[in-house]
Amino acid sequence: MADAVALNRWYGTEVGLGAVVDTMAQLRRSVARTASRTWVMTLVAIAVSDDEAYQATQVLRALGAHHPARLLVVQPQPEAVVGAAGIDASVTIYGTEVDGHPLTFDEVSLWVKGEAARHLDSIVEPFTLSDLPVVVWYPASLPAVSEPLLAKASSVLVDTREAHDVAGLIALAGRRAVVDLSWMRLRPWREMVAALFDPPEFRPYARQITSASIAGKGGPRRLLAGWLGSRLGLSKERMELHDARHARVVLRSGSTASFEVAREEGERLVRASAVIDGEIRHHELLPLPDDSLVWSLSEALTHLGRDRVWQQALAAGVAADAWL
Amino acid sequence: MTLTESTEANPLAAGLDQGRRASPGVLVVFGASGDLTARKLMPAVASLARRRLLPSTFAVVGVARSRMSDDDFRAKLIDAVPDGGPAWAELVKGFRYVAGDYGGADTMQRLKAVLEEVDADRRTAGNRLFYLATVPSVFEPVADALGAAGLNCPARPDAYVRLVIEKPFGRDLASARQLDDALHRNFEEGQIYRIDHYLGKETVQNVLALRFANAIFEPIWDRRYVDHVQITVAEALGVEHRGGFYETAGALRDIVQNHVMQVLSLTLMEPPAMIDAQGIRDEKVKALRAVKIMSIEQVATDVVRAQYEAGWSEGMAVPGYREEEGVAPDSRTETYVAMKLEVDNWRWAGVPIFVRTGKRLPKRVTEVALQFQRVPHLPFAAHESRDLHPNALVLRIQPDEGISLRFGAKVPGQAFEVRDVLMDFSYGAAFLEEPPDAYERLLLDAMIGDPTLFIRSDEVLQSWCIVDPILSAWASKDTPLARYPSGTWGPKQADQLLSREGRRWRTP
Ligand SMILES: NC(=O)c1ccc[n+]([C@@H]2O[C@H](COP(=O)([O-])OP(=O)(O)OC[C@H]3O[C@@H](n4cnc5c(N)ncnc54)[C@H](OP(=O)(O)O)[C@@H]3O)[C@@H](O)[C@H]2O)c1
Repeated sequence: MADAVALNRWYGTEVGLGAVVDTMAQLRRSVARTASRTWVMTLVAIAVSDDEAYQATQVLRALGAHHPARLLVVQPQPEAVVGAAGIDASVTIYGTEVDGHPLTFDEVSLWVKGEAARHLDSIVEPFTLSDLPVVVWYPASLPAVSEPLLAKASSVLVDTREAHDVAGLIALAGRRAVVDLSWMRLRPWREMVAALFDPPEFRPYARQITSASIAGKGGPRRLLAGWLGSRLGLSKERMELHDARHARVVLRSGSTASFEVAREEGERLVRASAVIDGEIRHHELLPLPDDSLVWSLSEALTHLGRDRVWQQALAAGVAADAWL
Repeated sequence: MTLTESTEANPLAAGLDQGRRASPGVLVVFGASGDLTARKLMPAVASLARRRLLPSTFAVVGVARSRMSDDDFRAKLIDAVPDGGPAWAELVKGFRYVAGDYGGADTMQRLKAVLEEVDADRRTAGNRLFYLATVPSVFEPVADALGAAGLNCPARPDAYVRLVIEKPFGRDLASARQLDDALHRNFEEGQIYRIDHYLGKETVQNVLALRFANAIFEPIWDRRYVDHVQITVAEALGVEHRGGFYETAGALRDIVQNHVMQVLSLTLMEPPAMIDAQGIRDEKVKALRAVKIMSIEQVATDVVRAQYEAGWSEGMAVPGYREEEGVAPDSRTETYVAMKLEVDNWRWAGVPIFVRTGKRLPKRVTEVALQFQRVPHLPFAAHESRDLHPNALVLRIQPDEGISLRFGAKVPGQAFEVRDVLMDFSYGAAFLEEPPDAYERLLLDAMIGDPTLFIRSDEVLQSWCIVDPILSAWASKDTPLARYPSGTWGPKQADQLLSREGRRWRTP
């Protein structure tokens, strides 16, 4: 697949939404690279700073070149001075090629100033594609539970990696499909830990884990601890948490057995092992899973439903007070 | 300490949707020194491991005549997967190699001993997937030797033993029956997985999704709306250095009997009650049974065979088939076949199915096209609808997988002129995930024990029944063999097959 190139771009300050929508149609007509388009969703990113907006557009572009979504990057600026219309906008039509098929996708950026920033639902609606899911992504911040935009979203994507206070998120997840990119990144780790108990002769230990040691960075460590706690019925007292750059999980069954999944220091490898009665019964090296934003976002977009296991892990993680 | 085993659910697997993860087991590859093993099977194994779809309690045991130590074999596998990295190297450490004659009792005894060691070392639980990745002449001896050594039955009650077999499944109906009998002497049908890698392709499976997940296509998928069907399997390449092999096969055996019949049956079959092994395969075989078996006279009028001559292909001057290495200068092996098939059932009666396949055609493409009937009355002046053709729905299987629909649209302007437009949907442009390689998909299916995408005995035999009369007719020296220049869409006789009834081939 070729890199996406901007075929046409427009920028307007203090414009009405109608003008933005019309411009989008005009720009499309002028590029006319393809007779039809395949859409799968509208993807809305809510960015709280220029920096975040820039990062989000980079990721969405990398994704959009594969994944024909309409991309909308909204930057709410409630404190900004409102001019004639209160909205600055840019529209870009990108072109790329997939297997020789020309493909275009468009990206709309909106800077929403003043009071309108509290009514994003009314801003986003004119841009959503009919009948297709609307996925709202908060790259770094967490949405306020009262955010009206959430009512328009089929799914909400968040990232709890850096998030300290997730109480609101837990409440929100009770009501809508929320997908946590941090949880997506942990998916391969969960698979590796779970795989240790796949052999029938190791399976009984999964019910007899007496203590766990979990190392990692704040958000992921909280999720891992919450996951293990909620799945294995381990109380807070039985879990030992460490702050570390790399993830590491050790599960012990009394003094007889220990199961470990840890990143190899200095290598892009993960070591999974089981030691029973002092004897290494299992040992395996696995490639370090991808943890890029593009990867985790695409994982999230393929698992858009509610995830009860995540909800329980997050709640249990908070209860275990796993943020050091 | 002996550990007690448990079958209770793994509490950590909740929500991980690991239904498609293989259980412990050994993949035993016969012909492990060969091309298929290095080029397809091992990269597929490595990729499954990388995607964590293989358990760590997995191993490969290679069997072939070449002398190699375990370490030589491992080194060869590491070379076969250049991007495997340390994780692949680690996995390969547990792989073993057995050198010996394929049908030899002694080979099987040594294999048995190695398998027992692997079960102990790698906890592979007695599960075995035997994979015949070698020349077809040893399929029977291997099956018999496995049977004689008792390796055809699981050593433990909860274990599986399966046999994967590569094409060709015989070279005509009689030899296919003989092979089938040999397999069934030693294995139950449920243990036998016949691979046609076409079925592992995502877009072949998409034919099912398109037909049975949508309400708008199925009602028009029959004789009332479809004028005829065209199936094209075109290759731009010639026989390359496989001339010797190709001389014994030809396009009919190499492509029509397997790939074309698979695509055909998926296109024509009735909706199954369930998309599962029995549902799909029962309906496929029913569709094949409805294909009319040709008489010798019909072969003369409805089948065209041809050979490529020198010409230009993709900007290169290329030799004719008879000049290729390993090919007899007076060879009568066909590199091209076109035919008209008829289907005797309620859905397709009277709808001709045109099939063509060949080497050295202008491009590599596989597609199924449903050409719809004309509208009963065209309410436009003749000069306004000159450029309008009947609708066509094209399922592109490779290379750029997708679906296109041709329909009429008004040309902008004052006049009411209508013209064909093409609405094009490309899978590659709609979904993020790279579809898995066909071998990867099929290997995992075989390990999981899902035979849906493998070919059942009755399907193989029925497709040979369709092809066999053509082989018999061609056995006679006076059946004509047409010629076509390399880089063209085949001989004019193939065009006449359609033009005599007022139809013509599409240009894919
Ligand atoms: N290669 C492909 O891409 C491909 C694609 C589709 C299907 N297939 C099918 O897969 C199977 C294997 O294909 P391949 O290309 O891997 O074949 P190959 O490389 O020609 O043969 C595999 C191995 O079989 C042994 N062998 C070769 N000739 C033999 C003979 N006359 N008698 C006994 N053993 C012989 C050789 O091993 P030793 O001498 O060490 O025993 C060789 O390494 C065939 O049925 C083929 O039709 C292959």
